[in-house]
Amino acid sequence: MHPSTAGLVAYCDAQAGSARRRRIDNHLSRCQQCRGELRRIQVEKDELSISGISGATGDLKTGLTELLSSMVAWRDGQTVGLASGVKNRVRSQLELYMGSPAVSLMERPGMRAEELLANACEILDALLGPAAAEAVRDDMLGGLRCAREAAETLSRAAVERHPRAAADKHPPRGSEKHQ
Amino acid sequence: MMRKSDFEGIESAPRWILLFLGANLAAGMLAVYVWHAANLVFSIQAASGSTSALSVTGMAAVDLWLCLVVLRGFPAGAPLRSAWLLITLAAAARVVSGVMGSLSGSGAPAVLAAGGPIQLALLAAGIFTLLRVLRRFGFCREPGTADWAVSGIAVLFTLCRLGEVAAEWLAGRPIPLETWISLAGLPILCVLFLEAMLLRQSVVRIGNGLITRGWVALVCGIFLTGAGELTLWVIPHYSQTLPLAMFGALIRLPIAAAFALVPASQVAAQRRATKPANGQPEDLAGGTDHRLLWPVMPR
Amino acid sequence: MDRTPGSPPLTAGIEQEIVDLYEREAVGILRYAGAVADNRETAHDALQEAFFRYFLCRSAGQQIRSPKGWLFRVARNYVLDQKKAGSRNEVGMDSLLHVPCPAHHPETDGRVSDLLQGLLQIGLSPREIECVQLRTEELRYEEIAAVLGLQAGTVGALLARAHEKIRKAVGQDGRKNRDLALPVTREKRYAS
Repeated sequence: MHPSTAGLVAYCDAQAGSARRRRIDNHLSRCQQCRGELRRIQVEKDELSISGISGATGDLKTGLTELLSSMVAWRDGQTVGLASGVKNRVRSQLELYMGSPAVSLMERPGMRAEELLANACEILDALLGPAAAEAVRDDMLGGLRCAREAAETLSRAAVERHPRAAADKHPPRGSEKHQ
Repeated sequence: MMRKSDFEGIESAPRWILLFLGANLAAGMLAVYVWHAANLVFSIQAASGSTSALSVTGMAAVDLWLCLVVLRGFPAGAPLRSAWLLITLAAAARVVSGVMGSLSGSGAPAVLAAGGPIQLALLAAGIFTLLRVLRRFGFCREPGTADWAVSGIAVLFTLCRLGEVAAEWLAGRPIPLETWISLAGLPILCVLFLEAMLLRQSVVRIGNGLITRGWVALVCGIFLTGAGELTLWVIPHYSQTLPLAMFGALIRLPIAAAFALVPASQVAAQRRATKPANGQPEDLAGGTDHRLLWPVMPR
Repeated sequence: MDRTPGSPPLTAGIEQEIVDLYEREAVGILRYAGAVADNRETAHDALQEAFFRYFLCRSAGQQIRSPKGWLFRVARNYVLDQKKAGSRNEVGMDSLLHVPCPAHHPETDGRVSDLLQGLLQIGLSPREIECVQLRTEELRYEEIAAVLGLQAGTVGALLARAHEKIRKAVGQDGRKNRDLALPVTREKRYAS
């Protein structure tokens, strides 16, 4: 009995279970047709793989720097708007699944957004189950544009610190006429 | 306004249960005025041989199925796994009681035991575990005066029943086995009353969210069980002509429905959380060249 | 809940974890997000968003079982949300004509296999294409399933169907057969 295409594909991807892999191994040692089929699948897979493409490295280095700056800004409490947005999302999910009084019980004045998120996740994990709690957690952060907001906060802060540098970089329109 | 989509999917189970209950109650209320009951005291805990037994057993089966669905969402090690396991076993005991009652008669000791003290004890253990978890998060406090007072009513009722039985026994009258089995469930009912009050208190502290709706149903189920026992005990003392069997039938289905609403609400909450994200690949395919879905190499 | 109230979370270890993860996975995520989105900016935003949310979750003490799969899923959902919002991604059919076909992408040195060109024409479904794309990024079937909201078995079936369609399309055109006659010395790549 020849293994199905799905079986061979899973075998090729090393995603077949151990029992299935052993069965296919045994079959392949005897069946040239399936060995050919497996080779064909491997070839197709290799053709579909696009590797060695570079060119975005510069972008990614900049991206990593931006990300780290955003993370530092978050940690230092500079991203007030974003933190407030995260808290609102957490509150609304807690109100949906538990109720408004629970939010009042769980939130302390001055509590950081990630602490509220942590508390919410812990309770929902216990009451809803891990899979559902994980989905709610992803829902809490979904719809936000955290990274972009954090980056915008940083650039606004940079402009406020160095308005002259920002103005030189982006001169007002019409100033060229007077030069 | 109710839409067709409100009744689709397993997450609409609470609506279906309430709809079924409403229809049955309406029909039952109509029947109670034309049907004379036998002059016996039925225990509210066990399934009966009346025509409503099928509905009650069916509801218990739905309850069990939904409990199993909920249990899948709590893997080993999850804080509420054991609570839901015990609640599931209680539902299983109700189903076994209902099925055996249909096959061998409602008076069989096993039927009464499964549908009585066994399922109550499992439920009590499950709620105890739930309350422990709620206490850890600060949602459950020590019982207050009102909690003790309501439990006291259950204790008083238990003492009255015990006193009656003791008097009959002392008078030399034989006490049927089903009475002893029924009595065995009453102390557990007292514990359940206390737990229900604590759970009610927790729900008030937490709020009326998707998760807590199931707990409200649990509290209702416990109080209905106690109220049903009390009613069926009181009625014969005042009237021999009222249709006791019909009262029993009327109260058993709401109790079964209340317990079925517990996992139904939990399933609805879990499904609400894990509903698929909007925007499957097919959404992209509408009028979109699938070349766009092939890797666009970053420059 | 025994956390010291008001103290900032310890994130130094988390930051290093994120840097390591970024260096490993960012290329693949950006590539995939670029495939799902229709512009680079959205793809880049999706990448940044996925990592920032990862940082938020880790700062909240959350353990993420499969970070790679999670990041791909967040990036994908972000792109889909942006498309729905239509904030700057209104794509009409006409504009599709100006999208460069990856079959002719300069970075592939103009050498695109006949098989790849054939693939673009044989009508793989969007799900099949995404499964293939994610497999290319070396995600396991469970991870692909989590990204696309499917069961792991369905992923295997979709990939098998994609291969069958490829074979059918390639088999129909005889001049493409030479691409399949690869040297038998090519090493089979099975994960250990």
